Formats: sequence, structure tokens, C-alpha cells
Amino acid sequence: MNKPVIDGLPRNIIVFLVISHLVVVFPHFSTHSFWVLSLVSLCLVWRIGSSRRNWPLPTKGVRFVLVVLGFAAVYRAYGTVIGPLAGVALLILAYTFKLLEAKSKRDAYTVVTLSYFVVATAFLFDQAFSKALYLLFSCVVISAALISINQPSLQWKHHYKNAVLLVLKSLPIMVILFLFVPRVESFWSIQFDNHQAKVGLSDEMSPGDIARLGENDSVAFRAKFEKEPPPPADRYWRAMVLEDFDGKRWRRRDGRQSWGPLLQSDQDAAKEFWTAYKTWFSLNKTRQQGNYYRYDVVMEPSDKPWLFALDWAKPLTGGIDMKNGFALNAEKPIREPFVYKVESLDLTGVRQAPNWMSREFRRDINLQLPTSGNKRARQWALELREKAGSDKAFIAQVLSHFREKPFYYTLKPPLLGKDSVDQFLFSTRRGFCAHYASTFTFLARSAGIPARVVTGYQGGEQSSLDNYLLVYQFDAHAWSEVWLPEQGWVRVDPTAAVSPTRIEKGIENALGSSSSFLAQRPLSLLRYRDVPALSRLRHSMDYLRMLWIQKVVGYDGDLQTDLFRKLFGSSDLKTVVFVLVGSLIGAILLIFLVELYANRPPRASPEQRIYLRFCRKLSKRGYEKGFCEGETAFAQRVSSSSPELAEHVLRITALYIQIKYRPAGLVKNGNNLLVRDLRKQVRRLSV
Amino acid sequence: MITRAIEEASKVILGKDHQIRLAMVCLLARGNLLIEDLPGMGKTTLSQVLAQVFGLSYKRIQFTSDLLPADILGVSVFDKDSGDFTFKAGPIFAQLILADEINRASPKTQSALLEAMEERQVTVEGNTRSLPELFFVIATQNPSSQMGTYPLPESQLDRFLMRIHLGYPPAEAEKIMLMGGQGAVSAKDINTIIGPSDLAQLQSQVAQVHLSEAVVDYILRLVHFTRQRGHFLCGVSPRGSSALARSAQAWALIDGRDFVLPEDVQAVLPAVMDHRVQISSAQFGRSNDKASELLLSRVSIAG
Amino acid sequence: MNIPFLPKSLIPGCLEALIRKRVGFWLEKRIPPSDQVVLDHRRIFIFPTFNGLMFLGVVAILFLAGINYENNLIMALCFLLAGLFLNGIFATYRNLSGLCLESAGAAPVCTGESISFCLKISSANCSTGQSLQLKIPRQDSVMGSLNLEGQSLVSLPFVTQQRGWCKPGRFHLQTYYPLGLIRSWSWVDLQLACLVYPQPTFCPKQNSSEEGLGYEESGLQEGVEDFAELRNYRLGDSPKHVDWKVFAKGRGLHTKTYQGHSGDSQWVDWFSWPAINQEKRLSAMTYWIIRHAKKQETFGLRLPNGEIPPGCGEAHVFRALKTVALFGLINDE
Repeated sequence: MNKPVIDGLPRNIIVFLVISHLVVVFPHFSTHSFWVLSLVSLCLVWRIGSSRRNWPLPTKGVRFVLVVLGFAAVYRAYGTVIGPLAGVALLILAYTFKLLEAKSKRDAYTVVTLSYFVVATAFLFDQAFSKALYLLFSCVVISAALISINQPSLQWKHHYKNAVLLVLKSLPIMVILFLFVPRVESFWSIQFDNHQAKVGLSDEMSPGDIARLGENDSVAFRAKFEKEPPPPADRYWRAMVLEDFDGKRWRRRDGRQSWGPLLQSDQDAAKEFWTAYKTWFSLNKTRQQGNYYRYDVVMEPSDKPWLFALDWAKPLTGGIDMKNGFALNAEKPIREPFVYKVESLDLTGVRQAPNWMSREFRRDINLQLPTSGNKRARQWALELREKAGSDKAFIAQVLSHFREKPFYYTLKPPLLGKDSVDQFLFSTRRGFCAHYASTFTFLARSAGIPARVVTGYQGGEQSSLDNYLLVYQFDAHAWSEVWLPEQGWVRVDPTAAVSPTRIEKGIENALGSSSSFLAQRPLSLLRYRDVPALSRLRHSMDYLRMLWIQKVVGYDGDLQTDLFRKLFGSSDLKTVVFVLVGSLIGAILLIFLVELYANRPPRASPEQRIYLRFCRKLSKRGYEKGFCEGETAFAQRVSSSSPELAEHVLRITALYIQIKYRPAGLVKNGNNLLVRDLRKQVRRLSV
Repeated sequence: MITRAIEEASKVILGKDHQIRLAMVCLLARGNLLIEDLPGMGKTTLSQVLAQVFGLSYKRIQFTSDLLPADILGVSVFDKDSGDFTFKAGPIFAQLILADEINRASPKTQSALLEAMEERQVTVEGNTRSLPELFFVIATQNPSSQMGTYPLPESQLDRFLMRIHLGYPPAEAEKIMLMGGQGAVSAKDINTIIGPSDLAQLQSQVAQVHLSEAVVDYILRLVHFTRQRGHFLCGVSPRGSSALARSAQAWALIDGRDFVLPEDVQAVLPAVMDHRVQISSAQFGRSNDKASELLLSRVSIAG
Repeated sequence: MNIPFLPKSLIPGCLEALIRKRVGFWLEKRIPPSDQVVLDHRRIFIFPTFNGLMFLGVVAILFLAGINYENNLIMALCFLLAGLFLNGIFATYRNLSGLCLESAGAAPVCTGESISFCLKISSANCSTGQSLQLKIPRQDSVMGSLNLEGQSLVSLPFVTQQRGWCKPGRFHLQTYYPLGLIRSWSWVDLQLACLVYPQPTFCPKQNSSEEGLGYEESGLQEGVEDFAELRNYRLGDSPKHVDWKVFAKGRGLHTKTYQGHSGDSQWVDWFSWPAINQEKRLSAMTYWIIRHAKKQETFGLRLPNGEIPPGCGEAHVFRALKTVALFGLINDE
């Protein structure tokens, strides 16, 4: 019924197309479902079979069935045929089907065109440096396929060599365009949900939660300081504040804004708060009260909106708000690496309670406790408060209790039952920061002191490469804050009482032997912090990634304007166009010159160059040496028609012949002498 | 010494210096020579002169259509006195053979000679006899357009190092010849200049002449040019390229140099190449185009 | 001369002719005919192909996508492709630039056969000249690539329809290499010329000798100097040709006959075929000339405007064929 489809593409073009298909689709392998991938593999096998073993290509009917199957597979995998993931899956399938049915050069071009789109979609989900390198590789492979379409007869090595050269020559143009093409604001912003589980702090905490992060060695964020970073003990990176306790878990209070307790949409209050905060901030800054830091945070995607900063922070990048106890929050969950600028004023020990702080304070919330449970602890706290006489003394005594009684800091605490605080305080006494922060806050609230739990990160490794701190997931930490009427919120870290090393030197030292730290990741470079070379390697890798995120992935209109200002002093349209066009022309000229240089004729030997000069001299006289004419014959021709030149010309020719045709090595360095003589003679020749 | 030999030879063959040189190059390069020209142009005289100048034993074989291989190689004859077969050596057992009008004989006879030429030995009735150490064949042939000829096939033409044409003598030379005055000398009157032993030594000197890389590249370019599709029916064999190199070396030696110049290659090129390759555009006409002219005008000397 | 690089359907006939003429003049000035043409920037034309425009479309779409998704790496991919395109222009141009085209001759053919015009293409830069496509207008195209030494011989086919000088004029040389996004091309006139003989058709000579007819069956393939047959001895046969071996066996006198030994000169005569028209006559004459040539017979040629005396040899044959081929045409050589 259907006519057999004839495969008109040469076999080696198909090989190139199939290779480029594999390379292009490879990054998508992990993201797509079994059914989509098996359909893709089936088509590839069919394609290879038809070119190697002359299997028939699919007829119209079969192709229709394939398309239906493709939609079915995508629908089964994603429950929809629209949306980013399903769209990409359909694109890959379309690309594969086109490859399967390609039977002319025009089809081959279409396949190549589709492959560029598939390459591009890989970046929708991940913009890592490795992906970019892979992009270059894919471009080489695709270009080789393009070349093979136009020159099917040459060897594959030539194709790849030419493709590599072409891509290399395109790199400067790419860089120039990337830097100088004006960035336009997007028309409608679409963010892709990449559905990849990210690690990080969650917005609730039960004992043992943070311990899980203690095993994770990935970088949470980096902070690049303009000047000196704070000392290790002051590196408390606030992420969020947990105020609700149900006896087991600490939770965030949803919708609570720093600028007004439980007022969600009061614009005036917000403005007022910010004005007060900023005034206070700049006042203290100019008075040089406390330590002032200014830094960039380069954050890895966390899929959560909270950001990290030292106390008390003022964001310098737009789109960042303050929520939940002066913690910074982004407008959307962070799904791409994110860079923001912050300044912080650390007033530990020198400040008075500022008025903006009391605006946010709600005694009832920060004294809230479950109605029942943990009776022993409540009792103990009340008694201690009585004994201590003041809030401060109470805090000091609780901390010394932690310090003096056999409390241990460990990643693997025993499981706690119903009255977790009682159990921890009086029997197990082994715990992670979450246990201590939770217990301390509970005790403080029981004693009538308003308190809350703060989570975030504590610490940070100084990179050996640049002035920045690396904060890992295992630096996750929890601590407490108590409200002292004359001072406002004061940070109290019970973990510091139990294990001062954790705060001063980081978790890996606090855990004692390195065997328990990152025990499940024997290959992690972080286990070998003591080896300087490995540390440097780790730091350089991270530094590259940070630069990549900051300068390439995060390159935007602002950075571009800065660049123009810095390089050309102005960033108006005229400069932009001028620079863009000028640098493009420059790059093209450069490529052209490099190519000329690379293809220059092989350098002539000195005697040949001298002889050429001789020929040029004679050509002024009208004697052109034919390319088929021997040197002697030429000399004789010249001397017979211009006898006055004869002697000189014949002598020069004899010298040249001796150098060129005589066996070398008869006289040591004889040739050099002859060449010198030849040069002299030619110089003396006047026509 | 060689110059004197040339002078001596040109006493007989007037105004043909270039051809005499080429013939001597051929001898020095241990090659065989094919002379092609119309009858009466002095082909035979040239070979006689060469034999005389070098003091070689000389035999002439006149090829006819009924000449048999045995007439060249020799036969065993029953000797009545001894009652035994004795081998009666043919004319081939000489140092210089003139195979006159070789294309008149049947291909069978031609190939007998050419085999002897190539192998430098003769097998008659199962006995292999070797030919003299110095052994040259000078074959002459009439142009192929003449009647009653068996033109030599390309495979056999390739075995001749050179093919030369004598051409008509210049008018002055012919005048001297006709006048028969003191200028004219007959072939028998000239002296031996170079003896066979000297000749052998000269031959070994030919191989010592330096071939620089530039010249070898030039030869390779020439040869490669003939092997390209388009100009020629078929390209030059590696035997042809080594013949070119050897002849150029011999030419340089005759010129008194111990190294080869591109001009030496050019000088021997027509003689060495023209009978080996045929221009393809000559299939239907334009036979006057010679391979060497094309090569000399198209192949560049310097890289 | 025809330069069919304008799409036919777009322009009405007379205008098209006018444009072709103008373009022809312009080309004549820009790329003057010559034996040897070296392609340089003045002689190379360059334009994106359909695939190239499609590629630019991809670049544009990626640019919009990059802006939209605020995805710098998609932008980078887009810029890389733009760079590839720019480099493609250069590479395609360079593939032609510096190529030296020379005519390497063509063997004469008979009408109806295909001439192969040999072209020598060479370049000082051996990485150029890949995937060249050459085409004489309205003839088949051929592909060629320079080898590693930067040389190549290409034969351009041309199917002949008329006797006389065949001058195909400008031919078209183009390349899409390396990426197929750009096409660069040139119109080159190497003054190609080839002689086309009339088509040989057999037509018996009416007043020719008996012997001529007798050869008929043996056809044209028979080589020269071949032993043909034994025939009974006739008085006057040369004793040289008598087969003495057969005679010795007692089978009587036989004479060996050879082909091509006929010493009589033949005439290929215009007036041998009074009944047919000029072209057919010329065809018949061509047939006989070629036959005589194959047999190495001596022959002469007689035409209304003169004659060529009997002779033999390649030069003679060529002269005869040329005369026949150009008979009655305005000779513009």
C-alpha cells in the first residue's frame, strides 16, 4: 500500500547525525522517563539498522503510530503534554523522529536545527559550568555533522578537526557578543521548576533535623567580603526564626513580617519600619558602632525563599524583604544560583534596644508553650529562675549547667520520646545544636523569659584563593534568642557552652575524630582538609564556580553597565553600538590574521630569500625568472642579453647553486660562509 | 676525458653534439638506447662511433621480419669432428650491439633481444650464459608510420633508458660532409679515448653524483604530473623516474660536476620521457605535442 | 552565452533576456575570460543558503528565549552560533579563494558524445577547495575536492549537439563547504573549446573500390598489422606472404593477408554520396576517415572547397577530421 521509503542519505552522514544525537540527548537522560527514552533508543536502533543493514525506513502509517506513542509516553510520564518537562520530552522525540525519517540533505539540516534547540533546553534546568563545557562539545559534534553533510567523502578525523577549529574561532565572537550585546528586559518572565530535590534548611525544626545536614558536604553559599570577614565565633548566618512550639517541633509563624507583627498588608507600617531601620543603620554605621561588613552572597539554589546574612542585615539588592525576625527573604524560591549584596552591622554587646526591634516583639508569641508535657523541665526552670534572681543570671546558670554536667555534642543522638526536653535534659544528655537550642528556648520560656529559636548557618571556611567564606550545608546550626527588655533580642548559643570548638573551629573539629565527620562520604575532598594541596584544589574549584555564577550566569544589565563604565567611561547607546561593532570587526580581523599566519607558506631558507631578492632586482631590468626555468639557464639568458651584468649574475648563480645543490657537510659551516658571500654579492648587484 | 670523447665523436657526426652527449649519458647510466629516425640519418654511424670511442667490441644485427631469436642468441651446432654439439654464440655476445631497424622483426624476436637486454644473460637450450659485463644495446627504429613495421609495445619501450631522434644535420655540417674535405672523418678512423675499464669506472662514478633534495623533489613533481588524470594516457613507472634521475646524474658527470642541477634533468627529460608517456589529447590528433614540452612548461622547479 | 542564475518564473521573458545581457557584460568585465583564472575577492560571490537563513532563524529564536528565561547560557549558545555563522562565511569564502583554475584540454569527440573538459584546480593552500561543485549551464554537475597536495583534476561533462567548435563559455563553480550555511560561487570562463566532429554514420561509398566494401564485416575494431586470413594464392601475390608451412604440408599455396597493408591511397570524397544532404555527407565522410585512420591506410580528402592530398599519420587524420568538422561553418579560430 505504501511505497517503500528510499534512504537517500549517505551512510557516513547518518553516522555523524546519530553520534550528534547521542551527544545532544545525553544530558537529558537522567531527567526523562523510561518510556520516552526507550522510544528514543528504538528509533536510533532502527536508524542505524536501516543504514547498516538496509532495514526499511518507517512508512507513513508507522510514523503516525510512533508519534501517537510518543505523546502517550510523555503523557504517562508527566501527566500532561504541555509544560516545560513534557515540552522538552516532546522536542527530543520530534528530534529523534526527524532523524529516523531523514532521507535527504534537507532533512539532515532540519535534524541539525532541531539539535540546537535540544542543546539549549538543557540549560533551562541547570546552568552549571560543566554544562557549558558540554555545550561546547555538543557544538563541535553538531558542526562536524554539518560538515559531513557537505563533504561526505573525507575522513571523520578531518571533520572533527575542522569542527573544533570552527568552534574555537567562534569563541571570541561569542565572548564579545555576550559582553556587549545590550541586555533587554524579558517580556514575560518564566521560571522553570526544575523539580530537583535540593538540600537545605527547612522551615521547621525537630530535634535531629539539622543533624541530617551535618552529613552533607555541598556548598550552601559563599560570602565575599569587601574587607576582613568577621572572626569565626561571630559568623552566625541568620536564615529564619522559629517561634511556635508544639512540644516536638519548632515552626515558623507564617506571614509574620519584621516590620509589624502579624500585619501583612500595611504599606504604611512597612515604610515606617524601613525608614526607622535604615536611619538606625546609617546612624550606627557613621558612629562606627560595632562591626560593619559589606559582602556579596553567592548562593546555591535551595528551592526555598530564605536568604542568609549576618546580624543585622540591610539588603542592597532589590527584591529582598525582611520577614520572620529580621531574616532576609527573596520574593520567590531560589531555583537558580543567586547573588545578592548585603551590609551588616554587628552590635553584639554595645547596643541599646532599638525602637525598630521592639516593634516586632510580641511577648505572647515568644512565651508560648504547649499546655502540657515536659513537667520536670518546667519545674526545674522555674526553680532556677527563682534562685538566679535576674534573667541574665538565669541564662548564665543554664549555660553553666550545660557546660558542667556531662552533656555531649554528637551527630548521632539517641532518639527521644514524648517528653523530649525532660528526657534530653535529665537522662540522655547527648545531642546536636538543635537539641540544645530547643531545650534552652523551652527553659527560658518556662522561666518567663521571651525566647525563640533561630536557624541558619554558623561558621564558614576561609577560601585560600580570595577573600571569601565558604559555608557548607554541614555548617547548619540552630541557636536561641532571648528578649531582655533593656537590650532587645540577645543571641544565646547553648551549643557554644557544650562544645566551644564547634563555634570556634567548625563541626569537623567538634566531632573529634574525623571518622564520624562525613563518615558516609569517604571520597569527599572535605574529609582531607588537612592536606593543603587538596584544600587548594577544592577552593579553586569552588572559586571557579563562584565566578561562574557571579560573572556569567548572573551577568545582567547592571553588570554590563558597570563593565561599560569601567572600560569605556560611558554606557550610553552610542558607546554600546560603537564598542560592539568595533570589537566584532576587531575579532574577525584577528581571526583572519591568525588564519593567514597559520596558512602562511613555509618559511624559505636564508639563501632562498636572498635569491628571491636577486630575482626582484633583475625583474626591474625586465628579466623574469620563469617558474620552470632553472637558475643556471636563467643566469645564462640574462648574461647573454645583458653582457655587462654577466659576471656578477653568473657568480651569484654559481654561489647559490653551490649552496642549494652541492652535497652539504663537506665543509663545516661552509654554507654559512657561502650564504654570507651570496648576500654580499646580491647587495652589491646594481641594475 | 669525456669531453675529449665527445670531441672525437663529433668529428664524424657533425653538428649533433647534443645527441652524442645523450648517447654517452645512456652508456654511463648503464642504459640501452633507442634511436628513432628516418633511414639514412646516421643512426648506424653513431653507434659505430660510440663503439670506437669506447673501444668496445661491436656487433650489428639487422632485424628483418624473418629474423629468428636463434639468429641473435646463437645455436648449438653438431660438430662432426668432436661428435658433439658445440654452442655457436650469436651476435649478442658482444659489448655493444646495434639492433638495426628493430621494429621490422616479429615481436617474438624483439622480445628475445629485450629479455637479454634486461637480464644481461641468455638462456639457450637450458644453459644460462651471461653476457659481457659491459653490455649495451643500441636499437634503431623507423618511425611507426612506416610500412611493414611491428611497433614496440609500451612495456618494451620502457626498457630503453632513452629514445633520441637525430634529425637532419645543420646545413654547414652537411656541406662539410658533402665536400668530403679534411673535416670529414669516417667512423673507422677515430681513436679510442676511453677504454672499457675506464668506462666501468665512470659508470660507478655516476652513482656518486650528488642528488640534492631540491632536485629529487623536482623529479618527483615531474613524475607526479604525468600520473595525474587528464594530460597523459598513463603515468611514468618508477623505473621511469629512476631512469630520469640516473640520466641526470650522468649528464651532470659529463658536464664535469659532482652534483645535479635541475637543468640536467631538463636536458635529459625529452629523451627519457617522450617514449614512456603519451599525451592523451593526442588520441585523435595533435600528435605534435610532446610530453616533455608539456612537462617543461608546466612543472615548476622550485617547490 | 547563457547565465541561468536568475529564477525563470520571476521575470518576464524580454526583461530576463535584458538582465542576462547586462549581467553578462558585467561578468565579462569582472571576470574576463582567460586560460587561467585565480579566484579572488572580486571573482567570488557569496550569500547564505536557505539552510543558512534557517540557521539565523535558530539564532534569533535562541536570543529571544535567552532574554525571556533570563538564561545567560542560552544567550551564549545563541552567540556561539552567530560566531559559527560568521566563521562559516569566512571558511566558505576561503574555500574558493586562491583557487587556480586551468584548462587541461579536452579530447575531440563526435557529435552526440559527451566532451570531458579537463580542468586542473590547484591551490597553494592545501586545506581549501573541498567539495567543489562545477557545472556548465544545462549540463550535469560534477563534484571535486583538492587532494592533500592541493591539486585536483576535474572533468566537466558537456553533451554535444553540433559539430564544429564547442565553446561552452562560462561555467559555474560553487561550494557550500564547510557548514552548508553559506554558498559561495563564481562564474569562470576558461575559454574552454573543443572540436566536435560530425557523427560518423556508415554509408557505402558509391564509387569506391571493391576492396573497401569487402572490409565491411570486419568492422572498425580490428587492430593494425593483424594477420587477417589465409586465402588462395593469386597470381601476383608477394612470395613473402605465401604461407610456406601450409604449402609444405601439401595443402597448396595460400597467401597470408594482413590488414592495413593496402598501399593504394583512398579518397574520401564529398562527391561519393550525391543523394544525401550536407550533414549526412559529412557524417559519412567522418566515418570513412576514422576507418582509414584505424587501418593506417593512406587517404585523401576531397571537399567542394578544396582537397587534402593523400597522407597518413595522426596529424593528417586530425587535419582531415578538423576540415570536415568545420566545413561550411564560419571559422572563428
